[in-house]
Amino acid sequence: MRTRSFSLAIAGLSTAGLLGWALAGCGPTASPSAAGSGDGPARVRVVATTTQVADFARNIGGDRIQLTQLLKPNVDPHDYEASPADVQAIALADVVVKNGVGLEKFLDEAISSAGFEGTVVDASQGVPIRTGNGTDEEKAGDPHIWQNPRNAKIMAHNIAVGLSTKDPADAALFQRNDTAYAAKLDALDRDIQTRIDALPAGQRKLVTNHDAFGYYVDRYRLQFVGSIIPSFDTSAELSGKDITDLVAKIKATGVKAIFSEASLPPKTAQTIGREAGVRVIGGEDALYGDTLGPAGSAGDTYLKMEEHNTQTIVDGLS
Amino acid sequence: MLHRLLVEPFALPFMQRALIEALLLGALGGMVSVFVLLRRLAFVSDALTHTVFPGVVLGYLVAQTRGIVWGALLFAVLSAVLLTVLSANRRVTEDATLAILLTGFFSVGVVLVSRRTSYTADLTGFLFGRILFVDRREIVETAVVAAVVLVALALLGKEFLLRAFDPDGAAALGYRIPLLDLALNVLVALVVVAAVKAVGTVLVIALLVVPAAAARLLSDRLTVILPAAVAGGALAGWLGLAASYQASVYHGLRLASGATVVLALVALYALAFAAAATRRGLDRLGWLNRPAPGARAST
Amino acid sequence: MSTAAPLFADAFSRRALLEAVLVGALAGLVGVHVVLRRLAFFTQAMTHATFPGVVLAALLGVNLLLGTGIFGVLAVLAVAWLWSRPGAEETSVIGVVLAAGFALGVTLLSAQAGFTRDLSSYLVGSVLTVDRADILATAGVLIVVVLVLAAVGKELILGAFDRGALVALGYPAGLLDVVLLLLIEATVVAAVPAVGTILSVALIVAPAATARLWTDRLGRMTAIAVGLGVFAGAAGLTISQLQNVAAGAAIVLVACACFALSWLFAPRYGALGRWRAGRAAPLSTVDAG
Repeated sequence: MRTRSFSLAIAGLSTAGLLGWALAGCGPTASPSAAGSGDGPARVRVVATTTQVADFARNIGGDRIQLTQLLKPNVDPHDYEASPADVQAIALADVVVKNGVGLEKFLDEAISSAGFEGTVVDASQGVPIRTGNGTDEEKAGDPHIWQNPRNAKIMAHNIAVGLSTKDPADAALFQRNDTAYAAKLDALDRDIQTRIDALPAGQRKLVTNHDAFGYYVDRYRLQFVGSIIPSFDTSAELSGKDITDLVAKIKATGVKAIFSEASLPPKTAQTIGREAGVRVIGGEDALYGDTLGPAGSAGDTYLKMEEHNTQTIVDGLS
Repeated sequence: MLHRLLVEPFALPFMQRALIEALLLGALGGMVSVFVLLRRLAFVSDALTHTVFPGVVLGYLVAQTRGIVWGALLFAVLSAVLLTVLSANRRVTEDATLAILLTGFFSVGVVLVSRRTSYTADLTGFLFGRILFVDRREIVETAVVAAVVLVALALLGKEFLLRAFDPDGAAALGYRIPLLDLALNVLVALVVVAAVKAVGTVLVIALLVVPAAAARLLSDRLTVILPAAVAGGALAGWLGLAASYQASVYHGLRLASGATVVLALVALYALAFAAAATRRGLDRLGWLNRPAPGARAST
Repeated sequence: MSTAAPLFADAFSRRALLEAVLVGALAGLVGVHVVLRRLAFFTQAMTHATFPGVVLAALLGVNLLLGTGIFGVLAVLAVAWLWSRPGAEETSVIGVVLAAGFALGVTLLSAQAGFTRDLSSYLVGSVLTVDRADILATAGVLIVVVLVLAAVGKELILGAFDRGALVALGYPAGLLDVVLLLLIEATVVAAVPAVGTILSVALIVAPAATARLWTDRLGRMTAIAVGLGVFAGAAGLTISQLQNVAAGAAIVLVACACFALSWLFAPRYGALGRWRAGRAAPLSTVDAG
């Protein structure tokens, strides 16, 4: 009789033993909320969603904030899945900073699940929003507002205001950082304008992986020929008709080069480039559309990203 | 240290809710998995996880997130019925029918998605689950489904077993086999629907297959297999969530919570496998007093 | 505009057509054995169990087919080994391997911080962007499969119907089983770029299952299966071009539609035929027990 349940007993006993040991609770426990305390006056705990607003927050908040960034570089916001650490960070945060314009669909659920009751800073407040591409997802408009440095200034300022409200003691510091960063953004804006204007007028046309560059195109008066994925959703699969149509459009406008984004796979762009007989600029020199690049890459801060994109476009089209 | 591993993750409410959901689904899956094992319904269950996909899509189209469960439910029942009907043609073996049904339905879902481009994130959620976001309402929904399945098994469990072990006998006693089969298929479908939000359609197959398979390695008695499967399912839910939390908070590794639950199930299976192999090894060495070979009851 | 322009005028669509046709033929050939031996679930499991291979290959930067291939072989070996253990129920073992493989893949995938599009094209296929290397790989697999089936096809069929006889005749039945499992795995690996992992099992099973509704004779069954596979590939692509629908799904839906129509209308074995014969159609000898 005992042989029948022998192996069951072994497995059961070992599992029960583990459980008993666990519940007896030997050893000290590290409480998740203890992290970061004990080094001077408490820093503001900030959770930022996208790489861009996280970069802005870092520039504004400096070392007076403890920042958690949800989206990692090259991760499509549409594919993002919150991890336990992310939800926990939100639960323990003082301020949550988001891009807005409906980009972070996941955020509402994460916030309500975490039971967050602090301030949510919507960086898009006051930014002139372009119309979306007509899909449900873009009901609130085109979310890629950061592509125009003038919008970036507004976003950074919103973050400064939000942080100051939560932490009035450091308001002066946040204000100073905001002013300094705004100056850098102005300089960036002028620089890009100069370089784009230097391109021959007939060549200022853009074909990219997807419709992420609307604000950039509008600001610097380029012409947008079309995108390889005809919507903001980066996982829509192309049909044969889509490809044929885009190839025809490219040939018709005489565009010299098409641009692929760093966060999207180049195979589709290459297929279209081959068919249309144009250069495909991707891989290492790809544009940064949805996110900043990983640390150490050419686009790991907002300022560097805009510089890199502009240089790549100018090189490709001249 | 183990306290940190197994208890601390559940300090915050969202993890507590996830734990309750995981325990419920693990136990529910474990319960039903025994019948899936006995009636060899592993492929049927896998097929059902794919055939609900267009239902999920349609449900979302009509009523956003809340509509998903209803869409899934509708298509789950529809597929259970269709499957029973199609099995009537004996020229096409059941497994071929299932494969075609499964992929046909799933393709319809893919086509629907490819024409509308606006909800990848939700889709990823339904393929892989969002257990960290379950709210009270969803836990109650899962509990209700569990209760329904429990009642059904209490009422029909003996009939299911009879049909599994002695179909001719069952028919002779007047039980309508096709109806019994349909009933069990529907129960499996209900579990799939309940699990869709938590672990996703792709991973729920594990909940429906692995617990009983592992328990079966340890014993051939139903009185042992059933509680072992239920306990194993629940335990895997706990361990999987704890592992996902640990990796995320202390090691900066994002491991999808639904997937870690499945890996925990597979680990338990491996453990059971090792235990069974150990027993056989000790047997052969003569270290265990055994009755003469051939005395084992078969299932 | 595209209805006026000739279809398949561009090189990319011709490449896609070639790939679809090759995969369709391959799937039809191997599908006959899958259907006769009731290995559809195994095939399904293969498509899921190879997923971690794809993720690892993408992580390490090696060819995705290589990763798929290696994990496919691992999965075959795992299933074969587990099947040989006592207390193992056939379909449960497949279920465990399927779940383990796919969960492993999802875990690895989520560990690299997000589902990238390369990998989601693995799920549903992207036949429109196949390149020369993909086509050569498919052609290679097709040639190997044809050669192997030419060599041991008859033995495999015998093994499907009467394993005892096969053993009695001195053939290594277990080895032949594993060979077939590996052929199936190779077919899955070749089909995945075209129709994706979730749908490839349809292309393998549907044409052969349809063929079985029309004929008892193996030669004809194989021919019909291959023909239907090729037809599904070509027709599906055409529909994708005309109707703005995902190509992989279109191919699979054509294959399933052929099956559905045959299920209803095949003269002897379809629903119509059986009804007309008063549901007295005898079990054919092709039915293996």
